[in-house]
Amino acid sequence: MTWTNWGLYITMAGIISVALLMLGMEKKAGLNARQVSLIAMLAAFCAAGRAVTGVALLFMQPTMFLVEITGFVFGARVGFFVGAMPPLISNFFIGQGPWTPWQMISWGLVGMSGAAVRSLFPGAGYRTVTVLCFIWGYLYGAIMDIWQWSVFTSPLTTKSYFLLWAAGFSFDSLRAAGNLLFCAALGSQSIKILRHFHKKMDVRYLENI
Amino acid sequence: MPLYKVENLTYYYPEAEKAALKDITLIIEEGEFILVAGGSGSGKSSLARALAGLIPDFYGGRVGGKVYFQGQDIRTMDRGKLAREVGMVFQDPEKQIVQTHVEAEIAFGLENLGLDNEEMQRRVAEVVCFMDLKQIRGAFTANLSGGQKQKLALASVLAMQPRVLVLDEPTSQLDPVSAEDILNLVKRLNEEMGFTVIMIEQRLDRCYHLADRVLLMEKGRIACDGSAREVARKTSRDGAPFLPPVARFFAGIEAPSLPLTVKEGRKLLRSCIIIERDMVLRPAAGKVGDSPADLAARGSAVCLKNLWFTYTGGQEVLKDVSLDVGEGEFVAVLGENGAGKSTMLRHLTGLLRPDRGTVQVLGKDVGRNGFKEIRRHTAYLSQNPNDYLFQDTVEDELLFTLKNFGLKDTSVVDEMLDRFRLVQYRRTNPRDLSSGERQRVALASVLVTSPGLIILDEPTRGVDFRLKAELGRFLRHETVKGRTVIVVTHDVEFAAEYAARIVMMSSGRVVSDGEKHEVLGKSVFYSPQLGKMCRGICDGVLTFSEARERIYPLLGNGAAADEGQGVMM
Amino acid sequence: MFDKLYYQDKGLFLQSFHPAAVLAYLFVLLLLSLLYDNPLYLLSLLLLLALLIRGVDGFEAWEGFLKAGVFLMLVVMAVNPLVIRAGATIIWHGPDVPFLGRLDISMEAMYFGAVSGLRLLVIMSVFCLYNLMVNPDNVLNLFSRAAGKSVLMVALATRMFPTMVRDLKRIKEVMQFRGVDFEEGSMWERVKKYSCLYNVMLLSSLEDSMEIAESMQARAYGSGRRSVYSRNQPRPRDYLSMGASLLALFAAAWGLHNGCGRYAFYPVADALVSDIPTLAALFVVLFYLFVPLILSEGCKYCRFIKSKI
Repeated sequence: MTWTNWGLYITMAGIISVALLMLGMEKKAGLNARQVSLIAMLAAFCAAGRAVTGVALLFMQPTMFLVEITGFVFGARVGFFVGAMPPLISNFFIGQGPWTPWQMISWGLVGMSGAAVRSLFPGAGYRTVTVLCFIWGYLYGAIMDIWQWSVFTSPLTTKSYFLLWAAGFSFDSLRAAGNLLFCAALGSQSIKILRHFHKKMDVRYLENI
Repeated sequence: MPLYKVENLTYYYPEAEKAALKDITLIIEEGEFILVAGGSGSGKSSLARALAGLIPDFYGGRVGGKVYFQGQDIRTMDRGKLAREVGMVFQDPEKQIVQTHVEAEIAFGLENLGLDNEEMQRRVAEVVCFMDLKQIRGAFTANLSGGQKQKLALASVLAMQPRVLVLDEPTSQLDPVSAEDILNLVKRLNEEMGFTVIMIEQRLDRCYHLADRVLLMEKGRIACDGSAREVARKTSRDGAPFLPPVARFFAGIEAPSLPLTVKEGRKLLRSCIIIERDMVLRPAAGKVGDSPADLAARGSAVCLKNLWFTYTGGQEVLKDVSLDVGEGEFVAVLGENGAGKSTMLRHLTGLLRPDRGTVQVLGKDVGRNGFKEIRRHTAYLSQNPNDYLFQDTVEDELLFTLKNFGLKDTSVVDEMLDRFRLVQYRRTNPRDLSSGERQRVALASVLVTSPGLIILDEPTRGVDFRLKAELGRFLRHETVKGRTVIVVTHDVEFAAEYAARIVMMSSGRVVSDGEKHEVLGKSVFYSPQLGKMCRGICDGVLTFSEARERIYPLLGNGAAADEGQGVMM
Repeated sequence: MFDKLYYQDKGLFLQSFHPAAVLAYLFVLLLLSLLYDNPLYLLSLLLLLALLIRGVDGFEAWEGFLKAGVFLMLVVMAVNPLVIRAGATIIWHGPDVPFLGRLDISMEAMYFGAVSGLRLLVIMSVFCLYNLMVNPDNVLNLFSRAAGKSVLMVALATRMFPTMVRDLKRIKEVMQFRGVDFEEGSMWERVKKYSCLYNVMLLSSLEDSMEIAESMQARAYGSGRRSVYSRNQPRPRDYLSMGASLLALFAAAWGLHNGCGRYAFYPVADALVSDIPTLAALFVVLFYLFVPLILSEGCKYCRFIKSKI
């Protein structure tokens, strides 16, 4: 039996890529005070939103769609940071687990996909975002399963992966449904609010009287 | 060379039609302690920001005129260099702290200046020692109290070793003890270390006497500029809303001098009052409050009986609290932080359930059924009016509440908008309003259901003199209509002026409860400034009108002849 | 629940290491738990971790982590036997199932599932230890030289998080008094109610972010290159444990190169201890990994050691 430790590679890949992504995004251009505090506040808000909804909503969270919309309005970089930070932050309070790096990557990708939607379909509105949010509900589970699959199962076949994914299907569906509902309820208004602040961020004119 | 030289400064915020600052010309010398007073929207904050270089650097907008700092145009100065010279502390401690660790927060500005580690270590150590932050130096910043946070914000600015300190209402969000702490620090910085201080404050009783110079602002202009006493003299003629209560009181009579502190006030009062023995000990005048029989005739609005409560963390916060509030009463709950005030509030709104004891509100047992029973008849205003604002227009905010309770009659909306002077903002987004207007919208949005019980949590925080008076009068008017008002506050002046009954809490107990003269009159520390001044000279005086009524007649040689013309309220 | 960081400083020796030393040590532990297949090796790691967690007074937290891991473990243990066809000792002949094929469950597959579960426990324990042993502030501080802005954003968001949770709860109460009943109605209606709550919070936090930015700007943020304020100073104990971690890694790599720590489950599982080198390699690696514990115990009982490290 050839000895290839995929679990190791995948874990390392997760940690290294999240570090590189963060670093790369940061170095791309200077972030001014407004951008830094806006990203941090949105990330804290997403994390807090995750923490507060409880049984009444079957633990559905308003977070993922907001990350998506942030990317949609503010672009890939802000979307990535706002997505990648909430898992890290809330885990400071409930404990970091081995899943943290992969969570960060998946959430970051959610944010970046929002930006991708905008650049691919400039005319897209919140309906497109809603559909994407729904898909991400399942996609997120699928990405998170990769780590678990690679570390704990052998041999690594599509079958075993599919089984793992099926085991989490109910959770994924709940997430997807939550995304769908929240995005449908809040989507257009959130886009409006964020756009309003986006304008505030950039419009800086100095005029002498 | 003066420290600051402002020449014809005019400033418009982006997209604003009205100028925030109009043609300001000002010279500030090194080492001055300047107090900037004025109502909300008078341009105080804008002036402070212009002096700190944030206007127009951070805000954008249109600017005319020049600000020179030590002879150099502030806009041509390097931002790092300016920050080394001018430090600014803002109003809300929550919105200034950016790091998780106290030491890291102090070092934040130093990192931005690019100092080396050794220098930073030294400065952090110095500031920690000076501000006495040793106990919290390793703490998680989010868990500090408001006062500690504001102290930390000040420390972080001081670590940059500026020569000028600009403070924008640094104590408005704090309890009195922490506020005193900050003001004492500022005073020391000015007197012992020679800092130039430019401070904006609403609560003038705490700091008027500290200032060398007072700037009174109005509609974006400097209306009055001079030493504290000069400004007091000048402004005393026209209503004098921006004077500490003691000075305001003496402004009404042609006193030989204008006292600014309780000490000076007492001295002057003793010298010019004709003391009659029986006057001193006479209890409060009869018109205040209702007679006990009158109260008993009314129904009970809130009835707490032997309330005990312990948080899951194990902290016992309510110990045998009993309280009976009749319909139409105006009750102010005072007490230090952690005295159990807000926990009690949460019980009578049904958000917490008592471990032992009963809570009855408007005749319903809240302890058992929770808030659902009473929320239709209870209005609750939290500390932050922003908690209420999310609709696109002011009108929608009011309709939202009505709709939730299934109330069809929307004519009340017009009435409410009219009463709160919001008619012209009917279609405005509430988030575009000023903070005072936001509070009115929030209040209107909970009062549309015409509730029987109105509960307010720290409604006077960061609210200017005029709006405070307006709120007080409004609440008093509501009690006349038979509604019950309960206000939890740190603001003794407000409580003394408008409430009829005071409940004092301390470490989970009700330590004093009764008519306001009874409670505040006995207290040395929980007493409004006029109460402190009149204590022992003419007991039972708490408010301005009482002082006028009781003391002016006592003043010999007709000093009070013109009482009618100079004094309001 | 969300007002305190998970990490609590108890002033214990194991919490006094430099974050870089702790990260290196835990990283080696994580690597080894992924590299080793031999159940004996994994068990020894688990034992070591148990002792370390005792050293940071964290059994209670550990329990929480293990509980969180159990679900994952059950899934792993259930999936493995279902898909693995490589085992030789069939203990149950199942029916034909579409997609999966014939459901034959072998002893070896069960065994592998159990060992995977064990590995999961080890990994969970490594993270549990990380949470208990090192202050996240110090870790952030460590990275701020490389990625200052990311670290600043993480710090700011972390600092705002408890405030936001508090604010959300308060706004929820405010909403309740405006007649919103969060527990009533269909799922769609509830989502709409929560939407109001989140809208308020979103607006408020965006407004606040402008004020925070202003305060940052007033303290010269963005005026030039930032430097880094570093509070952590390395001590001999950090060099010792760092060195030991490296040595452990080398020893493990050498051992693995020679087959020590590897383990074949299929078609028939290996013997647990096949030869002396297997034990010797385990012993050497464990010795190095025990260094922080040895220092900790030494410190407790010997003044001399305490004064030197």
